[in-house]
Amino acid sequence: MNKLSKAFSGGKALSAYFTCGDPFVEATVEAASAAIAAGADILFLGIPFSDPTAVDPVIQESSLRGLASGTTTKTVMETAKLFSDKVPVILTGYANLVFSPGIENFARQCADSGVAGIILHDVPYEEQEEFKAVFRNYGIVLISMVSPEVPARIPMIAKAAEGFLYIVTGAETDRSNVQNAVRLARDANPGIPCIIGCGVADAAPIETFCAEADGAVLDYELVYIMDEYPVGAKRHITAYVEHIDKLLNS
Amino acid sequence: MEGRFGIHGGQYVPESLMGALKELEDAYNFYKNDPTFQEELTRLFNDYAGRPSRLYFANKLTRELGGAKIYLKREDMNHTGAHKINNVLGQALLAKKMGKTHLIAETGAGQHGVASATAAALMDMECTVYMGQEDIERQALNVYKMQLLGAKVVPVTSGTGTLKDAVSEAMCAWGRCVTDTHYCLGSSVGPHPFPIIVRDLQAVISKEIKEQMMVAEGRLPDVVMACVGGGSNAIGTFYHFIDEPGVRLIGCEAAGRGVDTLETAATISTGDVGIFHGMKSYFCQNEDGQIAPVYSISAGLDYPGIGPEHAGLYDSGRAQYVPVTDDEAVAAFEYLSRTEGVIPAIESAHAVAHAMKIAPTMDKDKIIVITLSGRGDKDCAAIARYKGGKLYE
Repeated sequence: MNKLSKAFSGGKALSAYFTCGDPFVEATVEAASAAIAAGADILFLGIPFSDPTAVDPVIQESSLRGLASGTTTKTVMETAKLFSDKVPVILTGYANLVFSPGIENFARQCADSGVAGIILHDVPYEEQEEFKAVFRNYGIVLISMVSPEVPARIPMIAKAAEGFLYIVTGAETDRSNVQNAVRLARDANPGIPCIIGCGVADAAPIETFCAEADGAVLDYELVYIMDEYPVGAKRHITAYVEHIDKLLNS
Repeated sequence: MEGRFGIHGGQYVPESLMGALKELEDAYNFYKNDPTFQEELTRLFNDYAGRPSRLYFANKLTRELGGAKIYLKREDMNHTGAHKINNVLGQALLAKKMGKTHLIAETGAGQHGVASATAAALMDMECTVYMGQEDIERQALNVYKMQLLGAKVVPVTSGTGTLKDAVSEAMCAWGRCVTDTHYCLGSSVGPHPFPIIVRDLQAVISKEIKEQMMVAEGRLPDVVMACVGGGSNAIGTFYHFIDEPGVRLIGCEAAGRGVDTLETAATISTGDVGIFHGMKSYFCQNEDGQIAPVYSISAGLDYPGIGPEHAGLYDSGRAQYVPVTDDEAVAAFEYLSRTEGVIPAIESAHAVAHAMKIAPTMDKDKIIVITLSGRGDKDCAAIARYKGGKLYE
């Protein structure tokens, strides 16, 4: 069993998302340690990008704060290395961050840092192969995303998905669409874990979305805490992750 | 592969937009071959926008420069003052046929925003225009025009507060409301099928140049040239000449304060291949792939990328792309105003500036066509200030 599938073996898998370097890299390291200690099974590390068009304003601003603190791809790789022997580390970012330095070069850096997978917001199914093949050679999975609002595409995407499938949700996502998305994905690829990319902070919708899925990405509230408490975020991170863990796994 | 120009193009967008792109592609493939749609579009082009635009022999300019004959393709004479209306009428008509009730658009100089607001008013659609804060200040008159036409103008404060950020914001907004909304992208950029739709709609420019030139001179021109930001007026100017190897194609990029400075928007001269705003093409960026803040005096050319078809034409060597600085563009803005009594948009002045360099080196029996993409009314106050004056709108 590899590290990633192990993360899904004990109940709902909790993923903690932090934009690397928001507000500064030491804070990210401290917060990620706290989240893992509190029960996070997977660490998502966002690579700050100049033009984060795919995500909501909350995460967009976080990305720009990360960039403003001087965080580079190199910083993100160094941060990933600190955690990759404890939990699977998934990097999230945009195609150009990988393409511009050279896909091969980027994948090699990921492998050196023990990164398990990568999510590229602007690389849909049709454009995946150029990236996927290179990452595969380094033992890194390119994670596929599906949108509950575009169900027709889910079987095709799920069938080819590796690692886990990321279901993009938000405050306005309808629960029945999430249920439907998970069902379509499982029909097409029975073994693939489905996790909810929440886009919400409140525990209630996370619990609702997660009823059918195999886990959730805690992004909004964690990013909010990092912005609200540039110093002393640790206590709040611990409390939030423990609360969600209890809600989903007890 | 459809939507690819060599290695460039593609559909690099979040999964949430893929359904909308497919819907748009299917609708466009149907309507582009639908005679009723084409008739309606031609009627709008001719009766509403004032097409065909004139191909004007610039006699005085030709004489003063002392070389090749210069013709001006007068897109500045179109309704709303620029070539942007060609694209907008087509996309709004398409959106209407698709049952959409709302247009969203990005704008740099404000020309595309005004054109979108115009089409929305004409076709009874709602319109929201995303515009960088910096550009809102540079182009106050166009902001007023959009509001007058009933559009909502949303200021974009992220990043450099210019065209790039307006595109990002409009794309994000589209992702949230794809069911009832069409994103009326203003240039030949973005994910497939946008570069093709915009090019096809702007290709009326080169179609007309070809016909008008045969009447005027009985032959094709030696050079056609246009300014390039994203590149919609340029691809429209080039399109019907791409398979005419005797016609040189020249795109004029905004070099800002110079290609050896950081204050430039000359993508081909200073950029590298990358992936951004849904497409693979050339972009101004750093070694980590972060998109660079760019600068040009012209809000319409102030964009860190270039349309994928231009990137393909550059790679194949079919078209040539040259940088033109702020100073050169301003000099051309003034020169054309004085010699021909035509005040060009500062964007179009970039193409005039390069023509001023090459025309004198060419024989008198050679012919250059410059597309004047827009008129310069919107730029007068800013150019006056650039020259040290204190003119405010």
